[in-house]
Parts: sequence; structure tokens; C-alpha cells
Amino acid sequence: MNRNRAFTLTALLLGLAFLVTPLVFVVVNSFNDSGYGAWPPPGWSLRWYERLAEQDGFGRAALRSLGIAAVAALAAVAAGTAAAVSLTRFRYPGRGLVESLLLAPLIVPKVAIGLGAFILFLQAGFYGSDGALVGLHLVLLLPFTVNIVGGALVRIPLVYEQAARDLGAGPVRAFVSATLPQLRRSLLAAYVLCFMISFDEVDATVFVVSPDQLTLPVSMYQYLQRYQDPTLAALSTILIGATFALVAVVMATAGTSAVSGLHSGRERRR
Amino acid sequence: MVQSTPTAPDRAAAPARRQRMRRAAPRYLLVLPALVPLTVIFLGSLAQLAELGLRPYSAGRIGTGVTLDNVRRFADDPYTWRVLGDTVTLGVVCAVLAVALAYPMALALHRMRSAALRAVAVFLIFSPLLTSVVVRAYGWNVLLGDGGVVNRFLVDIGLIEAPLRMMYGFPAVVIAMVHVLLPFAVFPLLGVVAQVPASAVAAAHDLGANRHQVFWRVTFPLTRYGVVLSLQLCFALTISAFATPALLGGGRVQVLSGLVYTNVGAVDWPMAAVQSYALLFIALALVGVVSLAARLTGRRRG
Repeated sequence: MNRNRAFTLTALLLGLAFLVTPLVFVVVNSFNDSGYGAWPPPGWSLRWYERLAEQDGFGRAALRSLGIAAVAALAAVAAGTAAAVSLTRFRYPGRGLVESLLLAPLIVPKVAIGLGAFILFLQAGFYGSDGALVGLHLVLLLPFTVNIVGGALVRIPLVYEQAARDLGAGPVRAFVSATLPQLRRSLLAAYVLCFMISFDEVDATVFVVSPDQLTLPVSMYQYLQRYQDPTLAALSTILIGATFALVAVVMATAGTSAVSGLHSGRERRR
Repeated sequence: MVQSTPTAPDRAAAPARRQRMRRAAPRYLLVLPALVPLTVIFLGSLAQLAELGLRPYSAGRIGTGVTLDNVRRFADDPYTWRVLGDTVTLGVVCAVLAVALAYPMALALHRMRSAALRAVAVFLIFSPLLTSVVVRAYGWNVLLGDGGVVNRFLVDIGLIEAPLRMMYGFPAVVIAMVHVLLPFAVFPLLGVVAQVPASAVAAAHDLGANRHQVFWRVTFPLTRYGVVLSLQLCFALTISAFATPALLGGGRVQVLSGLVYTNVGAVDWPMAAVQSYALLFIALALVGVVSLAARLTGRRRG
């Protein structure tokens, strides 16, 4: 048993190091004076941050990405929660089909969804609107919210809701007052995860954005294809700092379980 | 997500069930907010894509009507087939590596006693999701380049004499893809690993099984479903990934999603549509094969 523990613990530490290393070097390299990431750094400077301040496209793209992620994640959590309630509480004909459809965007390649959505939005006259991007992201996010919230719902005992019903509350009020408060952490975890996925989405979004409507990751992608200087590292460092601060705030207000609540997302299926 | 286990209808509960069905209408309403955008945008997109793939295309113009020309053009092009082969190879290699690394990580997380340490580890596992794949591609660029950190280190400690050529090729793409996949690979495994009853493991030990036997004959079979789910998700994510191979492959690693993007730029949209559908069919075929295999072996083991 001890040797098992040592083996898995080593794997965990190696895996964590592997996951964190590139992020660390992005941060370190943003202060590297060399323009092509020479190692070890010949000197330290803030000039990539100055260069970043001169780029006006990134600011606008960042605001657009923030807005789209906020709205798409909210819609995905709301719609996904309603669907998860229906799927976990009730049995009805077509339930299996609905569930497969809700999870299908995980399996279907994002390129296919992105290109198809591009044609669809072009035909419907939505191409170039922020609503189109929100719609696309909503579809990509739904499987995650259905999974996380559904996983939490099956673990919440029904007795409180039944008690509320016995005391005369309607089904909606019983759910809102008895079950919803217990879902709080999972909802928050789902929202944060969805926000992050939407904020970083490139593979499908790149097909759907119009040139004057770039999201932050897409404009970063286009920048990295043309230049390799650490301006992006400076931008990424700011983003990493901001997201870590956000997560710290979330963990402080909701407790660590908001983050660790992610891991029971799949529990109900087995 | 593919194995739904239908519960056998209980005869005694049949009248109650029928009564519940009568009140079922509002329950469908709960699904609608999710189902409507999925049907309109997701299924609508796939329908548009299919229609586009069947349009005639010649000399940079997309005509009207229905034809299988694009499918023929796709099938006749040896380059496309080579790219398709590379895409599938990349998908299999990355998915297997990611799950092989994720599995012991999930086990270690499960065995951790301190809740605080566990929360920190979980946070670190999901922390790459806080940064864009584009940023991470840049990070790997700094690490894996000829004069990059890894090569400098290996030369300095005398392990190698000349820098290893990792950037702009298969190794860099695999390393960066596994990095992207790892959080998604761990995610489905955490749940199933936690559900292996400790009593089963203890019983196997009591019966004299060594630790390898316990793992391969008790723990692993009980978590097979999560492993399958994890492999599927990783494979699907890899074959549709576009930014990472494009940025780290340096044109030397071509994947099908890259061809799709190139063809969209070159206005050969019908070909891009056919190639997208090829990707879709690969993903669906894998899901079908894997779930069939899982069902067959599951039945044999009872």
C-alpha cells in the first residue's frame, strides 16, 4: 500500500509540475529583456508591458470577451440547471435522447460546430453580432453545466423539498427554498468553469468572429502567428494575475469546496 | 454519456408511473431553455454544414444543387488521407498519454487525507484552464525551443550535446496537447475513483493478491467506465483542436482541422464542410466502437 501511495503521489507531483511550468515561464518571460525569449534572460525590463499598452486592439477584445463569457456562462448555468433538474428528477419518454443531445457538443469536433455556426449565422443575418458568439458559446458550455449541476442534484436528498411541499409550498417554491441553497456551490463552480472556457475559446470561435469583432484569445492567436515577442507574455501575466485574484475571491467567499466541488461532476453516471 | 442504463419497469409501480406521466408536461418545459438553443444552433449548424458539403464547387464559386463531387474530391486526394491518418494518430497518442498520467493523479487525489492540500492540488490541476491555449502555446515555445529552457538545462547538465529539436514538430504538439487535455482527463476519473469500495480492495489484499493484482483485477475494472469516458473526451478534444497544432506544429504537423481552416480562407467552403464531417464521423465512430466494446466486456464480466 505504501509503495502504491508513493507511486501515485509522485505521478501527482510530476503532473502538477508539468501543468504549472509553462505558466510560470510565461510570467517570468514577460520581464525578459530579450525579444526572442533568450535563456537565461540577459536582463529584466518592463518594456513588453509598455509595448502592450501601445496596442489598442487587445483592450477592446478583452472587454468583448469578458462580456460574452459573463452572459454565455449565465445563460448556460440557468438553462443547464433547469435541464439537469428535469433529467435527474423525472423519467419520461425521450429522456435518454434529450440527455445525449445535451452532451453531444462535447463529442462533436469544435471545428465542425464553428464552421457550421458560421454558415448558419451568415444565412440568418446574425454574423458579426455578439449575440451570435454568445449563442455559440452557450451550446459549447451546456454539457458542462448539465454534468456538474446534475451530479450535485442526485446527491441532494429530496426530503427537504418534500417537507416544503407538505407544508404547502408549490413545486417551484419548494425547489427554490429547499434545494437551490444547497446547490449554491455547484452553481458557482459551474459558472466559474463556464466563464473560463468561454473566455478562452478559440477552436470554434475563430470561424465565427468577424474581423472587427475579435475576442481576446482570437486576437492573441493572430498576434502570435505574426510576432513571437513577449508582449503576449505580458498580457498573459496580467490575465493570470487577474484570474488567480478572482479565484482567490471566490474561494474566500464560497470556501474551497467551490473549487473542489468540480470533482463530483460525473458521480451520478456509473 | 453513451451508456444509459434503462431501469427495468417495476410492475407494481406501473399505475403510479402512469399517473406521473400525466403530470409530465411541465417537465418538458424545464428542458426547453437548453434544448431550443441546442436544436437551433447546434443541430442547425450541422445541418447547414451538411447542405454546404453537398453543393457543387468549381473555380472558386459555390453553385446550387446537390452533388457528391466534394466527397469524391476528398476521397481522391492522398494528401487529405495522410493528414487524416496523422490526425487520428495524434488523437490516440495524446489521449492515451493524458489518461495514463491522469489516472495515478486521480488516485493520489482520492487517497489524500488533508482536505486543504486536496483543494490546492485540484486548483493547480484546473489552473491551466485559467489561461488561453494560445498563451500556453507561447509558454511551450519558450520552454521547448532550440535555445529554450529545457535544452539549455539538458546541455548544461551534460545529458545531451546538441539541442533536441522539439519545436515545430510532433513532439511539441504532443506535449502541449497533453497539457491541454490533462485537466479534462482528470475530471471524469475523480468521480469513478472515489466510488471504488475500500472493502473490495481490502478483501483482495486479504485473499493474498499482490498490489499489481489488486489494481488490475479490482480497482481498474471498477473504474473502466471513467477511463473510457476520459479517453473519448481527450480524443475528441485532440482531433478537433486547432490552435495548438497550428502554433506549435509550425506547418510541419498538419491536422484535419487545420485543413478546414485553410479551406475556409481559400473559399473552398464545401471541401471544408466535407472535412469537418469526416472529423465528426471519426469522433462518432470512436464513441460507437468504444461504447460497444465497453458493453460487451461489461456483460462478460457480469
